[in-house]
Amino acid sequence: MKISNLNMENIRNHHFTNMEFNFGLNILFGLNGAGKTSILEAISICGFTKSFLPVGDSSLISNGKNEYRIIANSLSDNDIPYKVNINYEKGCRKKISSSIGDNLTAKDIIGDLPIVILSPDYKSITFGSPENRRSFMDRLLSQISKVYIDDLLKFRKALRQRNSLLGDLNFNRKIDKSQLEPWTELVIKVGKDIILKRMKFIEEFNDIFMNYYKIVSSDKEKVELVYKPMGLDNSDIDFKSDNLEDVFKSLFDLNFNDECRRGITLFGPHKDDILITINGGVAREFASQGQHKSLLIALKMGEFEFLKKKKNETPVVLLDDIFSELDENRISKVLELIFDNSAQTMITVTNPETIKRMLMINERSSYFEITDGFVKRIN
Amino acid sequence: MIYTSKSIEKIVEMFSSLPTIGKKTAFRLAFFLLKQDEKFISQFSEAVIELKKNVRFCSVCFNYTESDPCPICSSNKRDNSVICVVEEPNDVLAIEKTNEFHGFYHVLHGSLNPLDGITADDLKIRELISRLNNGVNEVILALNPTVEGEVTTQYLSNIIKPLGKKITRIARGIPIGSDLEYADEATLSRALQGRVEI
Repeated sequence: MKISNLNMENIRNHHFTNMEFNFGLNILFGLNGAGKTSILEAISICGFTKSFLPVGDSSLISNGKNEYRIIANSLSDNDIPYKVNINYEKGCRKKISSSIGDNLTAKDIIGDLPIVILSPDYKSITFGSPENRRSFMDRLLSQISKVYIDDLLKFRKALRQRNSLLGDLNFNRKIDKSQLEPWTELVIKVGKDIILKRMKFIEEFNDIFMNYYKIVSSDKEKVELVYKPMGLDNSDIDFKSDNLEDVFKSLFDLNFNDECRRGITLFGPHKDDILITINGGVAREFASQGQHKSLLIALKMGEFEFLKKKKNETPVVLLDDIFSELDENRISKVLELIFDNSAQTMITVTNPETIKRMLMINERSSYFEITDGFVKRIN
Repeated sequence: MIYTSKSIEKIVEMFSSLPTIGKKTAFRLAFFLLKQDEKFISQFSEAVIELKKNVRFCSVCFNYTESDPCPICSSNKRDNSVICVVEEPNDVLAIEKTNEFHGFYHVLHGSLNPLDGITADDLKIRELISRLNNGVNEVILALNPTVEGEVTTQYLSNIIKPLGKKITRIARGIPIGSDLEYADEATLSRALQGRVEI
């Protein structure tokens, strides 16, 4: 996919910005707070309907304005045009339309404009809590399968309802326990589907990940992703597709009182973790700073390859301020992957010289200078 | 802004409290009414008052009616061996329009929704169970394909099954007259899961 044109109104300090992108490398440079990352956020909204940073839609709107609007025109690898139009007004539902139709929901467009993002914020994938690794996986799988998004949304809703009922059961003993049963059944049914899909994904993704880790780091360590459904060890419980439902059910039966007391569902894919291991040890505890960086890049490069393979479409790559976190050696590996696949890339830097000297003369690249929400194309 | 008439302000507020009607439409409706003659206005307001005065729930199926039991429940031309369970009175209208169903209805008035505080006791479930006498052979569950509708369907089937009645649910999947290629993946995958042997 290549974005040919991006039109954004009232996104942070961009009151009206229209950009024609190069199909190769686009270098967005400017001082801090100039509005470089906001452009990447706008692209992220076109792909995922939300920013890749943890901010709400209303805080994206420029000060004193009431709505934002983004339009992106793009071309698929086979030159089929795709247009997406997102409009958000404070207090209203987001209005989404695309080449597919009008009045769409997030579910309808996620994955139509495949994107891979590398931002300093994603450090938490290897460093942070399991939630970060789950959302890495969900973001990737959601772009590949609408059925997965559907399962995920359904599961979240069923979970909220079940938790609420568990809380009620705790306070009001008169409520009939049989009302919990259908919610439990739904949580099990959808939860099982999600766990099986994630399991299959990790199996497939592991080789790609290991391979990229080898490319990124010159070290000889062996890395691996270990999927832990519901945060439990595979060795404790045998998670096989045919008995997963029974495993699930017995966990709920055994822990009914505990769940009631705490008013939360204790088992399910919302407790999943993926351990990243280096030479058998857990990376979160053992890895050095440098290894963490290599792990993150290997995950992201793997995401790119996996997405490209599954969608049969080259993702757009967004690199947010990577020079602040990564050394030139690691960055050059990322750029190599991008150039080998001729993927369209938007990269934000404070000083354009840092990247200029890493590029070969013949690479297609354009420079955009951004100052206070204004964009000037240099060449 | 300044309203030049207290009465207009009041009616606009009343209209905009209705579902799907915003301030703009409320103003248009108010100005439209102002242009009408006295006769229309009194007919209009009578209709609103009569609506609330005359319409109540049918004591059998809990659909809206003016005569209790409702014309459907009191009809002797309908098949009394089948009961179709729906969430709202609107759904009865939708199914009646098909002219394909000739049994009786039962309106639950909602679906199980713990987050909104709606439990089984708030729905007309007890009343449904008491209707399942010997004459009834089949219960069709025609609830919405939402998470809540699905769970309510499951709950009802859990409690009706021990009574030895046939329980069915309406099919889900591809709309008639549309092409497979235009169906979204989630719907298509559910349709595949719910495939039937022919």
